[in-house]
Amino acid sequence: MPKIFCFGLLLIILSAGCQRPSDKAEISIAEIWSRPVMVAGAMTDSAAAHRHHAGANGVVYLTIQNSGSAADRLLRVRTEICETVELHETIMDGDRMMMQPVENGIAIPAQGSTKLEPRGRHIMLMGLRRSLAVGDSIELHLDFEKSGTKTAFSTVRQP
Amino acid sequence: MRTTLIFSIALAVWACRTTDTFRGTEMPERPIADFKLPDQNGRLFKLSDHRGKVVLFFFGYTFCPDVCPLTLSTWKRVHDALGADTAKVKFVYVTVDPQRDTPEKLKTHLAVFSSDILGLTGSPAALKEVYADFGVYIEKVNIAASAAGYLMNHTTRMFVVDQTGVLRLLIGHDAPVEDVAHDIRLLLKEKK
Repeated sequence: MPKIFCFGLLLIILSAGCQRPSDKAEISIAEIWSRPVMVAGAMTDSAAAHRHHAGANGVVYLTIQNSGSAADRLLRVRTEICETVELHETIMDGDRMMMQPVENGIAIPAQGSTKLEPRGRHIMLMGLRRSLAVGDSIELHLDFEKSGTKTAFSTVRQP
Repeated sequence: MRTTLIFSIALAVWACRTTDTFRGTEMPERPIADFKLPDQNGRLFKLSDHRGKVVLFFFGYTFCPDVCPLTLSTWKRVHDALGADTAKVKFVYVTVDPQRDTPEKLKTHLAVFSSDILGLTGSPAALKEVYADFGVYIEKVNIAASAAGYLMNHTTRMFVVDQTGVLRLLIGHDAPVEDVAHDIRLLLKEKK
């Protein structure tokens, strides 16, 4: 076996063995809450079919902390509470408000945190299937680019 | 000597007087044209029916999960802070999205905050006149990347009309509750 090949193989083995376990994202969720929303009673089948763009909507605000040494990205959120979930951001231009979907997810820096809060980025729950009363809990599954899926529970409160 | 003393006391009293001023942005006084729009309870809201009351307006829509409900939460707290004075105040939420916001939808949406908040909708033409009179910016934006289909861009200020139907103040949607309550009380002190 050529020496150069052995040396290369040794380098690969050593570099694999020396990789620090902290070279990854370590995601945790904090300060997670939603607003109360009342949803009208029975809907016709045709109305329910259009609930995602004409129904009652909710919101989730939270702080995503990353204690790892690699950045991560929130790609999507899933929940059974509504028809569709989208990542949105509110942009204020003076006293004018614009809202738009966030493209390519939301970045969470290494050794840092990202806050989703009122008048900024938020998780939009579109077409709620039931009312959200103060004290309720919403189960959410947050899909991250590197950390996989994290489950979190948002508490409904009236600010 | 006595005249000097009286004058000095009067001057001191005048100097020590604290003038209470509005915390919102004062506007050049302009009467709002009377208008009629249906509310969420099936009754017709007519601005001139509310002379003698301070009327707060906000232009938003029920599909919005962020700034609009945030403002309604503030209104709920203002409503609670005003106590007995609430009887002389009207909170009026005018939709910028009549396509989605039926009276029934407004009623369900507003019930979370306070039954005292009126939700107005109407024909696009009738609403357009009201937007124009207040100077409200509204823009419908079609968004292919969202299941929403479209979203509304809009002004987020509160508009405060005094007891005589004159637009007097603009208040930021994120103003502290105590500032909003303070300005309403100041307007209520004025002679009709």
